[in-house]
Amino acid sequence: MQALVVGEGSVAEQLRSGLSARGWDVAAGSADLARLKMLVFVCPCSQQATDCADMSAEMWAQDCERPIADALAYLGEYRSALLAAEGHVVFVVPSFAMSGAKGFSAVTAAGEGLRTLAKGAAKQWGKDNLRVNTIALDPQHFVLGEIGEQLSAVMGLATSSGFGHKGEVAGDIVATLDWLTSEDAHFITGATLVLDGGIWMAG
Amino acid sequence: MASGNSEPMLLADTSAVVTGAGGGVGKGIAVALATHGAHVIVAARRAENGEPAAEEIRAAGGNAQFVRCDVASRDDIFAAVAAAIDATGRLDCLVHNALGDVGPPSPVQEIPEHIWQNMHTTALRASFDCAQAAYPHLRETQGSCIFLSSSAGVEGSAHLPLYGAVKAAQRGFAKSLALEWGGEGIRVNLINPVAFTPAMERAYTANPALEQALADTTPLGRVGDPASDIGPAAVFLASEMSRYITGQTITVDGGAFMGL
Repeated sequence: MQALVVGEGSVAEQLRSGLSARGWDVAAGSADLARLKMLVFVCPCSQQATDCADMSAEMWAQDCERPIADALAYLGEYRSALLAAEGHVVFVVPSFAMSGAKGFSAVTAAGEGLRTLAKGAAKQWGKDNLRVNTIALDPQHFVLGEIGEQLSAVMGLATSSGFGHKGEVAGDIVATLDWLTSEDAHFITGATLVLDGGIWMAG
Repeated sequence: MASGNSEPMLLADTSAVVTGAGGGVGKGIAVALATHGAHVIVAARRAENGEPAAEEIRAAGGNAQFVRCDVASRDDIFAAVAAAIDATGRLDCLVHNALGDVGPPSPVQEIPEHIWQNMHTTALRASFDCAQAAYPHLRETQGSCIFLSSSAGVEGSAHLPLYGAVKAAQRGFAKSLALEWGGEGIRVNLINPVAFTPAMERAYTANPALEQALADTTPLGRVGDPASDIGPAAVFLASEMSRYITGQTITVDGGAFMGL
């Protein structure tokens, strides 16, 4: 079975590595239509905080508009192949898209847009057994270093909870991704699974 | 312009820009803000409905002026804000309501390119442009920014999946803005309305059973009125009454959606 993991950066790379370790044939650019079982679309994320007031139109387009346009294109291109395989689509977004994040207004817009696009697609395609879900990860996976730690800490303070560690994408996250695409999860679509160790519990 | 026999004028000596104010929900909000004393810039793409909307407000004793504004144009948005500054020296509230053609119900894999163009220029890019245009002025007044979103942006839409996505994106954007601007006293909130609009009137004409079907699924038993049902929520969010509310979504739909 082939998994197409769309995206650049640490999260996408670790997802490819983890899925490969679990026996998936992982593609990065384009897929083999005859073997495609899963499309994973990772929301791009800037590594720098930029307040909206200081943001260029180009940055807005790159961080907000392009991810949604790209997701639409991938859904259009691979929907038939995934339908034939009774496959699965997973969007992977930072959990701070749900809470908002200072300096990341374009990314939070894209993340929420993708998460709700997933719900719309799930509603349309559920009757064909093509499932679409979203996984939301700890901010530190998307934004590396001190800024990511701060984003995670702010969300943790808001909920006063959490395991206190971000988990491993190639291990913890891929295990859930693998299960989500299995027959055991056949009744789950349009859902958001928040895999952040308990930081965000607001629903 | 009286706001009612005993109601105080909540927005006296303030000014507001409302995009898409030539009709529907935008016009209703413009009327409501003006009723409470705001000088309203009726920012609309077409003079044919924008000018009459402003005239209707003036005829009722309010202060309003039409400014041609296609929200697909960053320059038009900045010009609408500049018109408020020219007229009153201040901006207290910006309401971004305008939205381009959402198109007919469509499978997600077949959404036409021109619909995506309409959606991202009027809902996504225009939200960004409105925020940047309003920010320095709202900072001066510790004002309020309001985005019109939709419950489809929370639960997703089987009929209009892209519409749901861009409305959700506006919500994600607004929450971050609320965090960025809160320290400067600027509040950012959203309204998810359901109200009778020209678009809904056309839908009723095409499907006469729709009006009753919508009423039957709404706990309060009817579809809202843009001015008298949706407008007061915008007045509240623009006023000092809501001074401790930011980053929130108020659903004004007669109870049809309770998923927040």
